[in-house]
Amino acid sequence: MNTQENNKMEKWDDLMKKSIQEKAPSHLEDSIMSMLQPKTSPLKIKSKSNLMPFLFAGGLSLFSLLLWLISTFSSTSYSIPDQYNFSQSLLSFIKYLDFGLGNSSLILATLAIISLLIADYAYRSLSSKRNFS
Amino acid sequence: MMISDQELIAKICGGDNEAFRLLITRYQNFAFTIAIRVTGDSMEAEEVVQDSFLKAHQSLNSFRGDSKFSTWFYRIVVNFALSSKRKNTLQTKPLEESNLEFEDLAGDSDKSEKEALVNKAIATLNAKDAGIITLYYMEDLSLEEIGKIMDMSHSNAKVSIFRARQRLGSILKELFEKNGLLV
Repeated sequence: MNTQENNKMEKWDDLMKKSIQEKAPSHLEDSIMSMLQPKTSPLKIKSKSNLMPFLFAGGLSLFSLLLWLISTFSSTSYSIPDQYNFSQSLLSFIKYLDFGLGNSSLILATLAIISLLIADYAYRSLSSKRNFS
Repeated sequence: MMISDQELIAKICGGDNEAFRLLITRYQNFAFTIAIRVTGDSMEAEEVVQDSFLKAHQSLNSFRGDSKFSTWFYRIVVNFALSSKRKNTLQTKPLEESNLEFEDLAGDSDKSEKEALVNKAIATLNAKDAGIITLYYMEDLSLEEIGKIMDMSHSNAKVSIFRARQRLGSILKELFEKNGLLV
């Protein structure tokens, strides 16, 4: 920088030093400190509406358990063959059980996954509300 | 006697949140100054400062003390401010509008007419120049420290400061002449 240019700039320097500093808003310190609260404290459910997703997920789980119990233990369509043959009847019973259990397991698994997704979504939305409110 | 940054950091790492409050008190004005000069918007600057302190709090354990805490922390602030500015440039406001915002802010804090013009001049610089000019005038930082904060070499920092000061000088000259003021 040549001397002339340097002198030209120096005349602004004092003014710049005086003007550059800004003051942070007074609430800034508290807002930063409030964000430091531990995020692992137990989740508090404050209202009934917050509880609804959990109730729904729980209900769905119970319903799927009931469905599994009914489909597994109801044997209404099982009939004794005209000519009794132990090995044949055992085989048909196993086939029936396998069919019933196979289908209900699929439904059960689907409903359990949906329940988990709902509970997870509910937990996340409640956690985020708690952390940023 | 004033407690040093290193002592405060040791206390914070030991879980003392009140020590962190002291650190905030010590650096919030500097951090806010950098953030507002780079972003040109007070709300955005507040967010930048909050994010910077939170990031510093999370990463204090990895701060090895090779450089001063202020250098390390200002680098976080500058990075957050520049990326916030980049993000918000996508939803660009007209230049006049953003300058007006800065002018209003200056008016709020009882700045003199000359100081308001300085604010306006800095707001017309690009984000990186505004950052480097702020660091140059704000504290007695060495060229090496400014280089570390801005992620550039010592010589690049020197050249960048020279160019930014030149640009600022010509903007200020124009603004002062336009408003019939003498330096």
